[in-house]
Amino acid sequence: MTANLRETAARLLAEGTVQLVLGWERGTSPLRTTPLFARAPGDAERLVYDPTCDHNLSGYLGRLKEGRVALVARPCEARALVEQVRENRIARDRVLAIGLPCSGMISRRALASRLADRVIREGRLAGDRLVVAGDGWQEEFPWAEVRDPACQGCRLPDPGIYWLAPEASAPPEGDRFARLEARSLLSPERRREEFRQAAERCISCYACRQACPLCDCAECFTDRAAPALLGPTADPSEAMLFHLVRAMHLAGRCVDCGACARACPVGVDLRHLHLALEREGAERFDHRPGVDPAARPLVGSFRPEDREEFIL
Amino acid sequence: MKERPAMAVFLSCDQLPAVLAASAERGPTWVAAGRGEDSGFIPYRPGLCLDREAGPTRRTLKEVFLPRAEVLFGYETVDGVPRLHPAAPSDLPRVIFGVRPCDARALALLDPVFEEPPHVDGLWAGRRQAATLVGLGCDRPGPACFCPAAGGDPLGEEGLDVLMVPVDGGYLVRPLTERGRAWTEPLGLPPARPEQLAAAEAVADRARERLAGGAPVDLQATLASGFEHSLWDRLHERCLGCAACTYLCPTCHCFDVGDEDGRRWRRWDSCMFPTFTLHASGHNPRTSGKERMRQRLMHKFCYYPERRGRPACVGCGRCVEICPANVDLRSVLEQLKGVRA
Repeated sequence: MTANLRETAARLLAEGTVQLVLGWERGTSPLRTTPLFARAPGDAERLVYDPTCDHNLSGYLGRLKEGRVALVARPCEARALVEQVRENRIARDRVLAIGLPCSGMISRRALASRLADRVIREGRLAGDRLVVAGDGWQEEFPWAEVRDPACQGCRLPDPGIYWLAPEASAPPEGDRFARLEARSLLSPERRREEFRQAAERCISCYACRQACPLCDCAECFTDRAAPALLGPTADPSEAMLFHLVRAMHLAGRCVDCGACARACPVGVDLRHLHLALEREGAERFDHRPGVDPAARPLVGSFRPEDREEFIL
Repeated sequence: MKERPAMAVFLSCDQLPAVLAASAERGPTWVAAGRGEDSGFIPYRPGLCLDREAGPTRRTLKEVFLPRAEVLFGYETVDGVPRLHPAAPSDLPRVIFGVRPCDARALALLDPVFEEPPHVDGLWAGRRQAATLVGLGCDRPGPACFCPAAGGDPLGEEGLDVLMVPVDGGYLVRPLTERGRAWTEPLGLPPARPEQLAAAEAVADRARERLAGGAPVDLQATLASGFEHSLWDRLHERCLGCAACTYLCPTCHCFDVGDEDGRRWRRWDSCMFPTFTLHASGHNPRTSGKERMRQRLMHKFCYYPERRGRPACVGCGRCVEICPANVDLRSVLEQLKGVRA
């Protein structure tokens, strides 16, 4: 697969079909990859693709100056691209999406938890096995055991967005909303307290916002000085406000790639806020983000048959 | 303050909980606790102990001395007369236990920023004067660590009052300052035996061997001449523009001030944010990620050494570990060698 990818990328660059190929290359730490901006055919040799390619590349598209680019696209990139095209943020004919089959990604958080936070000095994938080693220990297990929960029940986007459709892949099965079911058993007070604790941990570095392929407002509300919408304190209510507004702003747009939770340096994972809104959109309005580039926006469209029993 | 040679004593692992409890009885004691992304410095509570397998805490010691947000002063008008109420540092930790040498060195690096007359920051200075720093040497530096390249050492003493070196069955405890002696002596620990001293030396050698290589941080002259180099155009490309690296950096110390309800707050700010340099007119001199990333690197490796004689980096490797896009400071510095005009 990687050989094909490199060959395709090199050809696109050599022929001048695109000026840039956006993909991943091997990173500097065990089991890490880093975005690669390939501009010369020779750069394509550095492309890699495996379950450690966990950063959503679509977020970079809006910043690129190159006219025509190729995007190495897992379903996560493809769904985000659908939304970017739908919102006229990216011109569809500017991006050639090279679709790749995906069976999920390794979650560094899940891996750390499985290894009780022991320091990993080496790590590699051997087929579907993950081999990790540290000081005086080595473990080997199926990498699927530390698959990101965000990958559970992955939706493949409409193949129409791809320039090169991926080979058939078997996405991880499961119910993406299962996590919400588990949370619904908790009392509202308990859920609120958990949210408050997450906000207390949040250091407001905005890595979640910056890693999100769809959190791309020219000016985030957090950056408004007049009126200032966030106060200067470190009270958890400030971070709660940020995360709630972010969730509302992504309603009907979030493609549930999990990049926000993976980017957080202090382990805050508020994906359930986005999932809850996605479920609302699906159940009430049959809206599915990341599938149809021609879909009307969830917030900002109206049909006479829309359910509106919640309007007093 | 420093006086050598100080007598090293031995603290066994079994005694550690009692020592922590005793320290907490004498004054508020904070402990480096937890592993991975959930780790940081927290007030001692019974049962809390040092985890010698854990690497440097994700959250830095900086947070204890320069909190994420704090009140600088309150203000009000009484009968038409404005009155100020300076804030005093509260909840002062007296002892901070398990400080890695890189974190202690970061505080020492920041001291002149906050304490150089005539502008002495009372909140910083108050906290610094109150605290005894009990360090924990690194027997197993992490894969992202590069303290020797940044002028530090896995068993570095700068900024610490006591250094503990993990050896078989316990710790070699060496008071380094008067304050450190005052903390160590009441513990009544036995003097270290020669083989324990030798073991501590071996720990140091092993750790240093593992840290060979690292990153070139001595780039002041190179950077000073390379501000306009075209390399900067591409260097920032992968950077997302979040503040994870600056907020979790033990030496990044930029802040903003803001008012709320008659109180002036100081709150962390980051040069990686566009608003950091946004003028009231709407003009922004740092227009893109290129200028912002350049500023971060120039501040650490050019401007700071120009002013203070050494780079504002201790090689703790946190930025390397946490960058969501795996922008690795070590390789960035390696590339920056090429900007020399």
